[in-house]
This record gives sequence, structure tokens and C-alpha cells, in this order.
Amino acid sequence: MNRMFGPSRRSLLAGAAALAMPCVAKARAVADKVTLRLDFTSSGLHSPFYVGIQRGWFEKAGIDLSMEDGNGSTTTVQLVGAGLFDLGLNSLGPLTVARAKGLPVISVAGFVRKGELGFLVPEESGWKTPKDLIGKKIVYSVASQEGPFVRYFLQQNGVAEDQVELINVDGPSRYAVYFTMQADSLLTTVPGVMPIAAVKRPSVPILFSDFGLNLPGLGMGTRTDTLEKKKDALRRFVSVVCGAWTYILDGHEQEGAQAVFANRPNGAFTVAMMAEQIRLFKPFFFTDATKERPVGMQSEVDWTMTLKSMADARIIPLDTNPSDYFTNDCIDTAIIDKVAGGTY
Amino acid sequence: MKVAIGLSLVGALVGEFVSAQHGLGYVIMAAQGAFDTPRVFVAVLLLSLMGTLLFRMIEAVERRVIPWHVSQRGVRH
Repeated sequence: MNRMFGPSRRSLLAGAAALAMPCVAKARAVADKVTLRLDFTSSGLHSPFYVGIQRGWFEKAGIDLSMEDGNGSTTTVQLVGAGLFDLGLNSLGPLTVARAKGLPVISVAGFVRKGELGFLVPEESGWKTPKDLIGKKIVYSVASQEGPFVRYFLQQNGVAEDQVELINVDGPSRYAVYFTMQADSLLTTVPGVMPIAAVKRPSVPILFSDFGLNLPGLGMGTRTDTLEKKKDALRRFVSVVCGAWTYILDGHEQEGAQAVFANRPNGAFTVAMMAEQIRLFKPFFFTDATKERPVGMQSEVDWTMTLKSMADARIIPLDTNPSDYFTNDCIDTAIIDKVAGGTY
Repeated sequence: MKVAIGLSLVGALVGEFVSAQHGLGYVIMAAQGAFDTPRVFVAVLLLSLMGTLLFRMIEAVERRVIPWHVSQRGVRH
């Protein structure tokens, strides 16, 4: 009798399933959290993140992005290596050194694939090669990414350490020292500083990469165990960022700069400066080995050359395997093409 | 004096963090940039030893020069 008048087992199960359905659907709709530590405070190099937010690309990719400003690539690599962030936007030079010293980090995207490190020298100086720096004062920061390489680079180009005056100051102070004429040259990431140098002290670069030392530039890194645990989310996020870079570099530099400014109006750079930063960085996005490849994708040829230079400088061991340092597993060309083409 | 000698070491070190071409502060910064953790800890250990030695040195000078001072009461001479 009970079976005739009470709810049947089948109907109870159906009811429970119906109640559970919205919960299941909701759980699927919850975006994956991705935490990102930037290299510095806002600049044109952060434009893909802000364009991605404004255009809703991360949301569509199911990514809930949380970003934090940085104070240098070295610190970013340390924090990502300590597991405090999923990803870091940093120069890949410090990441390589960290990996060689045992920190379990790996590069998942390389944006600035031609080395952008170099000396800024006054425009009117006429100095064009490292040898022109003999007898000059060079300001740099020993704790920054260029710290481990400066002496090796000078030596490789025929400049002994005692032939130049290296002035070490903390990272942010080096710009003030150079712009106030207290040093003849500034060692820095050239395209990022050129727009502000144009205003403060018009300068021209002497690039490491033009004189035999091509260090990897800006990219994104993660811990190897984070990559295993969150591979799908990281792949979607990294691919959207690569697509956003492709979109911005394809004539949307102004939109990129405006997106950064709209979100971070109190930053150090104006929209015009950030747009100029992006334009100046553009030639550094491609090397001979990567000119036909999507932005972000890394080349074994480039990495082999980089690791050899670093090993020659005795910064990393000789027996290094490039695949320990980078992976293209987070690059999804289908997502990149859709984002870059505006159909995502 | 005993407090100041430790603080002077801290002051010198912070100065070397900001701008220096030599010294333990410089060594720590350079080693940090090169991810050379053992070197960082050796420098920190040396600083600790320096701090302890300088503190003991001032203590010994105080014992000899101002044995009547309140800080020396109860200290065996």
C-alpha cells in the first residue's frame, strides 16, 4: 500500500537528480582561479592581461585571474618557485638561473624572444660598441637579472672589469642615477626604458644580443608541480595571453596601452609612453627560429644557444638539457588564432 | 653602546643593500640575484658572528672602563 500512495523510489531518485542538476551545472561554470605575479608595476608589457580582462577573453576561457604587481623578475621567480603564485611574468634569464640552482620552475611562454638587455648611452655620445664604454661609469643593479652577466659580457667583448666603473645601486635608483647624469651608461631592459629616457635623457642602446649574448627576455614561468596540477587551466590562460599579444602587436598597441591605463591610471607611464614601449618591444618578439611561430612559442634552437652562453659564463652547469627549462605544452594555437582574430 | 653597535652593523648593511660595490650587503644582493642560497646564508652567518663579537667587545670595554656603572652591577670582575 505504501508503494501505491507514497513517492516511489524511482520518483525520489528522479527528484534528487533534478535538484542536483543545477549544482552540477554551477560547479562546471565555476572558473579556474589563476594567480599571477607580474614583473614590475604597470607598463605596456602588461597590456595583454588588461585587454584580456576588458574584452572578457579570460572569462570566456573559464579563468578567474588574480594579478599582483612585482618588484623585479628575480623576486617574481622566487615567489613562484616558493608556490605563492601559479604563474609569474618575468624575464626568463633569472628563471633559467633559478632552475639551474634547483628551483623547480619552468618557462611556459616566451614573449620577448630576442634579448632586450643592454646599455643605454647618451644619444650624442656616439658610443656604439661595448669597447666605447671603456673609462665610463655604468650604473646597474647587481640583484637584478643583468647582475650575473655584466662582467662576463664586458669581458667577452674585450673590456676588462677594471676598465669600466661599475656602480651598483638598488633597482629603481639606477634610473635616477643615469637620468641625473651621475653615470655615463645604464644597464637595463632597453625597450621598456627608452620612452622615459626620450623625455629625461635621450639615449641609444648597445644591446647584449647584438654583441654575442642573447639572453631570453620576458616570458611566463610556473612550478613544475603547478603545471601538472593545473595544466588545463594554465594552457587556456597562457594561450589567451599569447593570442592577446598577437592581437595587440597587430596594430592595436594604442588599445593595449589604453587598457592598462584604464585599469591602472596611477602608474608611472602615460598611454603614449606605454604604446611606444609596445612598439619598441615588437622587434624583440621574434628571432630567426621563431619568426614563423605564434607569439609565446619557444624554440629549442634559441634555448640551446642561451644555455650555452650561460654555461660559458659559468652561471649554469655545462650539462644542461633545454627541455628542463621550457615547455610549449601550454600553447594552444587554436585559442591563439581565435583570440588574435577577434573570434574568441 | 651595546645596542648601538648592533644597530650600526644593521645601518651599514642596509646602506650596502642600496648602493655598494663591496661588503657583505653587496655579497647578499649579488648572491640573491644569482640564486646562490649557500652564499647568502654564509654572509648572514658572518654578519651574526660579527654582531656577537662586536657586542662582546663593547661589553669587555665597559667592564674595564666603567665598572661602577649600573649595567655592570652583579657582573663578576
